Amino acid sequence: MSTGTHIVKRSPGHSEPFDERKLYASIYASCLALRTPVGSAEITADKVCRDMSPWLENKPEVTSADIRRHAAVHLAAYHPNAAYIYKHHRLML
Amino acid sequence: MNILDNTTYFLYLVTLAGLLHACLQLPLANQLQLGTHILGRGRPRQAEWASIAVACGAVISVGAILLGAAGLISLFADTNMRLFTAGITLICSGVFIMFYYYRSSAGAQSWLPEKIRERMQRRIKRTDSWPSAIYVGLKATAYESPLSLPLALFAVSLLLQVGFQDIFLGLILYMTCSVLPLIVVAIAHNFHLPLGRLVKWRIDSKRFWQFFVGLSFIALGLYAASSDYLRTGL
Repeated sequence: MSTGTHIVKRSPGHSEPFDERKLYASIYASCLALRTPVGSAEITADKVCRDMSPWLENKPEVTSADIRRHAAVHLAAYHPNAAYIYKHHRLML
Repeated sequence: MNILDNTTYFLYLVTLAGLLHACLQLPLANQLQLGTHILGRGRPRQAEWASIAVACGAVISVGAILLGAAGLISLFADTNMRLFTAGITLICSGVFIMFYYYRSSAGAQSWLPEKIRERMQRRIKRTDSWPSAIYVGLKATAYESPLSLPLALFAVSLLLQVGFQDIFLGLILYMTCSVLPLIVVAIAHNFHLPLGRLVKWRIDSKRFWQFFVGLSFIALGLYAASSDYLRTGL
């Protein structure tokens, strides 16, 4: 998907084009972390990526934290525990 | 009755100290993070042994902390002074834990400086072999040694007063208890139990846990210091 959206990263002045594969991979990994079957994890990641598309449209720039928050909300509809892991995995240490 | 002369009572206290050591959750957080990370890469078998390796690393580190505590405590010739020192350091650790162990931000971020936490995250992401998983466990336990050292000082002070065989029993009890959560999680990984609920529980109950552990440290510290006070009659 090419939305033309840029993601602003945490390091100052650093941004990169939005890459749906990265979003898909992170959601897929969160599902697998809870031993969700591969097929189910793929379907969930696919659905969340589709749900995110309308929100990303016409946004020139978003932060990676924004994406994480919104993706977690969509993921919670399909897999609440995976959404919790997805949202908090950077805040566990 | 002078209950502190009783070897069994000493061993109970050493076990209690080991269990309190287990309540410091940085190694557990590392183990869970590493487990979920490897599972997320689709390698469940690797997550199982990595989890065991983290526990092994923690055991090595706890052994080193106990050795360090034995070295430090040997600086004091007098048993009463040893217990008093252990008590005071336990109270200081307890106060620190109660107010600063977890950050006020979301999640369960510990008191460690941001740079160290980021380095740990990077290390976990890079971990793909059992030696590096052992290193994760070793390092996580070592980082928490400023808080766990008073417990080790207390345990070693008590163990220096019991018989040779009981010293080993006490050390084994302390080491086993201090890595008990890691052993449980490693078993859970090997039985393919999903650990999402444990992660959620850790984050949801962090304030209660912080208060409970801090208070327990202070209570044990007061007991250690005051029992010394009673014995010396100061």
